[in-house]
Amino acid sequence: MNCISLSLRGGLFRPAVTAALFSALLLFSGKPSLAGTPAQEEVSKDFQKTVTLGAGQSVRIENKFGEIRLHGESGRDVKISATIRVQANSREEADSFAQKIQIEVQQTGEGVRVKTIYPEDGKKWYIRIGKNPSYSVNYDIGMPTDAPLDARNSFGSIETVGIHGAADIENSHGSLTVRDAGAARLNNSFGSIELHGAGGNVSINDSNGWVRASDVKGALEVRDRFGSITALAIQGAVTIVGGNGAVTLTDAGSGNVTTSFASVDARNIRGDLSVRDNNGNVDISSIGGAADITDSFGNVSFSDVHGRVNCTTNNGRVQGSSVTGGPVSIRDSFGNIELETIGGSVDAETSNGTIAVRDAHGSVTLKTSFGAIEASNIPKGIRAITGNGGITLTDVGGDTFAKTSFGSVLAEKINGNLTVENSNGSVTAKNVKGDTVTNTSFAGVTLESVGGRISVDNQNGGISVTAMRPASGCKDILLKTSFSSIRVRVPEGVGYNLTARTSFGRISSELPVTSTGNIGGDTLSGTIGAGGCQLQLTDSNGSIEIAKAH
Amino acid sequence: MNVTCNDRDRIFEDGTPEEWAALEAHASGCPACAEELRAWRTLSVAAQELRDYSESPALWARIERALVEESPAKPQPVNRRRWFFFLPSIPLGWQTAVAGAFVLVLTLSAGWIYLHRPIRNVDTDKSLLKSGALRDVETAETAYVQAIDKLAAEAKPELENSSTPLLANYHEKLLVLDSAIADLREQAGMNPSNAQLRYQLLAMYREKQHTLEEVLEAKQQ
Repeated sequence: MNCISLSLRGGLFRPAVTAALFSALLLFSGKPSLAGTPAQEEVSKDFQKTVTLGAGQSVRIENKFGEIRLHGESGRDVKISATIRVQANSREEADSFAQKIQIEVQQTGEGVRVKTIYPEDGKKWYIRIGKNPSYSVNYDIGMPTDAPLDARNSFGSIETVGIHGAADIENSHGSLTVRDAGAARLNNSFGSIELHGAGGNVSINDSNGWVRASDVKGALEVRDRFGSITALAIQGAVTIVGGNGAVTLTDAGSGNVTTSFASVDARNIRGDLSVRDNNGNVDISSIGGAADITDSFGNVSFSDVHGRVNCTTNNGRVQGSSVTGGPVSIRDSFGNIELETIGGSVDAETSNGTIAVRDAHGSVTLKTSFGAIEASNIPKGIRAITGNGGITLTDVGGDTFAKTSFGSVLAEKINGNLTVENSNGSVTAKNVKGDTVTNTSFAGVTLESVGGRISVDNQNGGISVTAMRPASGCKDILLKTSFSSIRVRVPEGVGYNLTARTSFGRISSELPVTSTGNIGGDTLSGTIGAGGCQLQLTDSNGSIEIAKAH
Repeated sequence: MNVTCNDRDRIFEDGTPEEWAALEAHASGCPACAEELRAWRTLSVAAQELRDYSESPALWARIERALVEESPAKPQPVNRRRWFFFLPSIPLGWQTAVAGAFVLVLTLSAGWIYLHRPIRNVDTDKSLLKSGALRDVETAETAYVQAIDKLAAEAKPELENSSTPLLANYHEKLLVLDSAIADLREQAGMNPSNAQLRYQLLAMYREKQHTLEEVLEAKQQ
């Protein structure tokens, strides 16, 4: 007692007593403040186990509510490291719950099976006061590089690196990332899939999440219902079935893409490419083989295609350029077509859209209704048919056929024959080396510098024709109209047998005409020069004028 | 020599004896300059004393006298050390017992604090949401649900009719999202702070909101 009284009076024990009291206060003052969570305690428990895998044996892991990381290592060991985390209203409860979470590791003849077992079956059958415990289990597993892998996870992510054995991975509600793999089957729902580097064939299936696959040595197959798909640097064939998400395919052996409600962008495909899309734009370029495109309610664009192109679309524009190898066939409706630099033949048809073609080196057939046609630099001839649209053709090397109604026709620099069928539209042709046959009505026909035979049948429209000196032989000129005038210019020195007839009009000639037989006011028959070629001019209710061509 | 008050600063700095004499003569009739002159001289003397390190014969005498005068007023420093000397008088057994108890209390306190240390000190893992983050997530979820309810009411006529393939596609997607949301909500109810569940649920809400917005855009188009 003396000692105690001394200590209290003195001071030696004052710090000790203070410390003791402070410690006691800490000890009995209740729970500490925990990061703003006065009622939540968290515990974590580590799990470590290493087992040896036999040759040919596989690793299988099943987990949920946490992430799985797997990485390939040298050797035959499977090194399992897991962390169990539990958060609960008290530390005791968290501890208790953590103890109930089991990590089961089984070795069978097939290999190692790792499974997380949660104590969740019983807890639905009682009413608890306060928040349920929260928990997660994360894995980090090292395994032999060549071992097959079977991984299942939900409500968490999976990441694998350097596992070259066949991998079968299924995940849901989390991301799936695979790097440096072998052959693989990857499934996910409600989460993304990212694959970079695979030595074999890969199959990817996702229901709602984006997919990105790159650097695959084998073939790639991707199915994704609601998510974008990107595939890069695929050595083998690529098959993509998407929907409601954009598809991008770059650097692939070949491609087969089916999607809807999203765009398709494919480039640098070494072989053939097939694209079927609905309600999305299609843009393809640098295709080594053929391209087959089917689309609707979307625009189509293709360029630098080395094989044939078949394109069928609705309600969308088609633009194509630099098709060097095969023919191009386009079927469209309610969309314009624009083609440029086509090495083979072109067969393009649309309704309610314009067609424009430049530099098509094969034969060209263009059809539209309710749209104009424009074509230039077509060495092997063209057939252009439209209703209710104008036609403009320039620099055509072969025979040219143009048909329209309710639209004008303009043809220039035609090296072959020109045939125009029109109604209710004017026809203008310049520099035609071959024969020209023109039918129209209710509009004028103007033909200049025509080297071949000329035949014009018009009604209610004027005719103005300038014939060139024929390169060889005799080129007849037959012009017929009514209720309008005919004016024809013929080259000097070329002989014609002239028959000109009109009623209610005047016939005049700048060139001397040697007439024989009857000469009436509405008829003139005779020869120009030495005669030879037929010059038949028939009109009613219009004048006829014959002049020199300069 | 004629000097004025204006010259005094210069003379203080580097004035000649003649100038000093003239300034003193001026100060005799100028109170302001006289005060300035007196203050300067006081300062000069103090400055000289500061440079004078030689011992003053009276210094120690003054210090000693002052100590003697103060000694009865304050306790002697030696008395402060006196209480340390009682320890030898306490039996060694008591000393050991008291020290042991002190160490025991400290150890228990430290152990309790360690075992009940705050959650943020467990590690930096983000698998389970802390309370603040959980509140933020729940707030965001509530905001999403409210926004989605409004959008869903607006889009309902189009989705029920699904007159075009596009709307039928959106309808299908929304059904898939609803299924995922229901699944996630059920799991989040049983595992409320699991970060993956909550963030995935947020992502699904976000996607549903975005899809409903697209439906309404399609309707406008």
